[in-house]
Amino acid sequence: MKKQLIVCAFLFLFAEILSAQVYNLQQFQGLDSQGEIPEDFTKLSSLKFQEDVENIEESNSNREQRDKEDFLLQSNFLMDDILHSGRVIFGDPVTNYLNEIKDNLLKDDKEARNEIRIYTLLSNEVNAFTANNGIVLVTTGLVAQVENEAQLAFILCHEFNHYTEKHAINSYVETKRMERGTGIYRSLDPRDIDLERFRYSKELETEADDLGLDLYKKSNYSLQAVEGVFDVLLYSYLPFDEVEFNKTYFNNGRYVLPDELFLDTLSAITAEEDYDDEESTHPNIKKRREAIYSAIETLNDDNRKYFIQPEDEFRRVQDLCRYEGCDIYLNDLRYEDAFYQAYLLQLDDPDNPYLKKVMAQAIYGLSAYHSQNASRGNRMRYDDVEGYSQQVFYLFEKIPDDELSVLALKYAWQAHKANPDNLYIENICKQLAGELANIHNLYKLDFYTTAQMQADSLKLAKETTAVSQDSTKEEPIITEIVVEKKPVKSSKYQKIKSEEKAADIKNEVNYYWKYAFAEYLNEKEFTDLLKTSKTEKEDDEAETIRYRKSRYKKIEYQLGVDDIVIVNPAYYKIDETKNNPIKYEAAEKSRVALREKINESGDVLNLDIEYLDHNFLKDTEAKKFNDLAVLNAWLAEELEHLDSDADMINSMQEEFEAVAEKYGTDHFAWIGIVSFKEPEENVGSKLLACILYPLIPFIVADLVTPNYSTFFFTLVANAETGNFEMEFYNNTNLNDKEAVQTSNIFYIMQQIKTDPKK
Amino acid sequence: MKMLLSAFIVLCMITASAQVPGYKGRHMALHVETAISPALNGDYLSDDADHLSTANTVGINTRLIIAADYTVSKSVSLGFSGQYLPTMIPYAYYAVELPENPSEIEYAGYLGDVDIDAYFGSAFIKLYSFGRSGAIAPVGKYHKIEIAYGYAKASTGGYVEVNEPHDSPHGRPDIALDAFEDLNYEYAEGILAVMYSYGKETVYFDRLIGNINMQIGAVLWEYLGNLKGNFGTTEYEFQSDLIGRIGGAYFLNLTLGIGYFVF
Repeated sequence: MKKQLIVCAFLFLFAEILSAQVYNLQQFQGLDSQGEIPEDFTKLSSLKFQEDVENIEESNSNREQRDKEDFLLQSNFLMDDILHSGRVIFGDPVTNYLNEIKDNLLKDDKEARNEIRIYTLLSNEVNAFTANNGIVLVTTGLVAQVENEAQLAFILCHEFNHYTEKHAINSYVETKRMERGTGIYRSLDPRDIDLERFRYSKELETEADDLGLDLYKKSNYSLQAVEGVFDVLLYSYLPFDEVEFNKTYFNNGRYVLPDELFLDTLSAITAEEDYDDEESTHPNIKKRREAIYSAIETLNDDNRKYFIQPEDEFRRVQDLCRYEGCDIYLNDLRYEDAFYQAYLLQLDDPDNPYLKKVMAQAIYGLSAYHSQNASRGNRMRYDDVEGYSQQVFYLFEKIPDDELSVLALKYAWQAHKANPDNLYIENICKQLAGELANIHNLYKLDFYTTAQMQADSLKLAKETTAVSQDSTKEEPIITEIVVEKKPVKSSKYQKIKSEEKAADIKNEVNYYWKYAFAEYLNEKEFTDLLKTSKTEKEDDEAETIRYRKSRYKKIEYQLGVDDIVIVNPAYYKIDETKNNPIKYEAAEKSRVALREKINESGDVLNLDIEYLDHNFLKDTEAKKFNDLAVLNAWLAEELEHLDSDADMINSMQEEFEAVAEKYGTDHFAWIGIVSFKEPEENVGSKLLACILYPLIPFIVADLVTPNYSTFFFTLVANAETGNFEMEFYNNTNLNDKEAVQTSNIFYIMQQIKTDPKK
Repeated sequence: MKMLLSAFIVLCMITASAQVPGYKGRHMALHVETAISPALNGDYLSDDADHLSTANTVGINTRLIIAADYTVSKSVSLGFSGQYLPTMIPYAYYAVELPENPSEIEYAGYLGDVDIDAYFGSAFIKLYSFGRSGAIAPVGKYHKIEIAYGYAKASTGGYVEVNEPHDSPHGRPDIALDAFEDLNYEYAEGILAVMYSYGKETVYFDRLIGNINMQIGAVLWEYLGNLKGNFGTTEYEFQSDLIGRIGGAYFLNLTLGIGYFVF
């Protein structure tokens, strides 16, 4: 019996070890959710709302009660939008680590420990926030920047008190009272209302700091560590570290980036802690720091610790967050930040293939956007950046487009060699080669081989000697300076020739990029890549034209697809005739009912449909939850590219393909419906038109019926090509009745299923 | 009519193989509709001081329609219909000249209500503006253009005045006829009407179709020079009244209908 128990225990442990995902930073593939899906992610928002309303404390007035219900309605639905965005994860090492801190802090308060649920939000913002229902979201950006576990513990204490003191709902009710001008807020002008709102918010933050500190003091965490929290907040807009960017980082042989691509002086870090906080939701950092400091300065910090869990575990979790930060930056199209983050991480692990890939992706993204004159909405200019990362922003802003493409291909090829089996990087290389040929007209012959480079070096050395009389200097930059020294006595013809040679040499410096591929031009695979690039561009153009057509015209798509995955259908109802125009509950009900309509259409058309929706996941389907996260991240990025008119490979393409393989189809569809009810417009002119009496019945019918419109959209992506094959938009002037939904859904499904016309 | 029907069947056959969405793949629907229009009888009843006619001053014309339509694309449905329009000419006087009549009575006249039964066959096209209003046939708002062709029969109405002989409304002594049919008038044949409707269709329980539309129409018969009888005669007047009544019934209608998807 004892033996059996031991065997069982061993098997159980073994199964646990197998199921827990081990994160390999060399081939980092992003943080994902693990284990059982918490109910927070699958329960319908309307049910959560109804439960909250039942548990709400009775208010003194009906109006306040309504305000509270409005808040609960909005907060539940908005929080669920965040939980379903794919950026919130559970059961991963970071979330587990944070929950360990929670358990430690709340070890004496079982109720709060059970009510508060911490999840990790994949975001590079340095932040944590608390919802009214006890969910605390901590960003990976925060974990990446704090110095120790104790700092995280203090921030969590602060957040826990936002929950226990019901700050969110109280703040909403109080703001409503201000807007109505009731009680002490009577006769306030709009400006005063704003200031009151900020004042009230600061009051709550101060209370959360004070009470948070009380909770913190009960733990064994170091009091000294708390002060550092405010430095974390103060410098949160900077990367997780400040390290000078090595200007020779990209240099290789005679491929030397010119000095003018780098700043001599960087902008100083200007963060101030004593800023004017009149219009801020939080007291300024100086006030917060001083208040905390005065509360702890007399306390004994002996036997208190920076780390209660093993410090190695903190470092591991922090590394995961920092690595994850690279992916987040890429997904958010913040390529300069992604590059610098990878650069910082590379200092500890120079040969890490994942980091090389991130850098290649970042430069590729920059190159694609520059070359195609596409604009990124969130792009920061170098003069808005402070600290050492400014150098990176300056470099990528100033480098000419063609040179950037060359650099991108050079780096992508290096990443390809470090990750030879990675099809994604190979495709990036292909696209970059196409970019060189088709946009910049640069071909194989425009670049120098190693042999040419050596010959040129010799030639340059001789010419330099002839011109400058100084044969000891071979570096082109130095040569450039020497060239300016003209011979004192020479004939007109000597002067002309000398000028010509000097110009040539100067050009050589400007053409540094010609040496970019010197070491690769002997490789057949690389030269083949440069050769085939022209035709690929033509294909791309045809593709682009097709997209434009489909975007602006309601064409027939006819994809000829037999299996498809429907991803998280969306449904919004907006009634502009009401004070609260967003109809959350009705929309959710309609969204849930969509599944049946989609499946029925699939049955009629003999189209196999897999339906992925958070609310239909079983608690054991964490993998499907992760798939949804990948698909939504892919979509979010792809829409950004589409919006910017940039034709580039999505940074989530590999993950997308992996999900496609799992579901046995390349086709994924995002379907959405937005229904509007609007007040009647132009009533006067319509009544005037009644002069034409036969029109009276039509006009009366129009006036007595509310104005409805329902917008249907569907995007179908092909994981193999990484492109949208169908972009369907249909704006109807009809109410979103069952029949209208069904006819549109069937039409969409029919377009997906129908074989293309020959 | 046969031609129209044949053309319709051919179109259905052509499109049957094409990928047309329809409503969940259903294309063919049968409809029963009623077109309602106001019947203003004031002019006709001006001589009916004793209110003898069975018609009221204001009445309602109802036209019964049985239609079939077939969705040929996401924006177009084609169809045909049979329509029956019962109406009347209230308190009318129509007469025929009595040739070689030895007495001084020159006319045989009919005074009373005349019932009219008009029968039409129509072909129509329903256009659902997918591009502009996003409707996918057969659900949503549509424009319907319809051409109807038919004929009308007249018969003795609910009230007939039979005082023999009497003074006609024209002051002539007549033989009073107790049946309109005795006048042996020619009925209107080959009446052509065109109609435009703007309406909305929706589907209930996946099979039933609700339909409502406003229709304006005109009878072209009169303008094609098809009035029978000689100008100035009461037969000509009858023809003109007949067309007027039918034209009135087609002029402005509210149509309510229910349909069923056959396949």
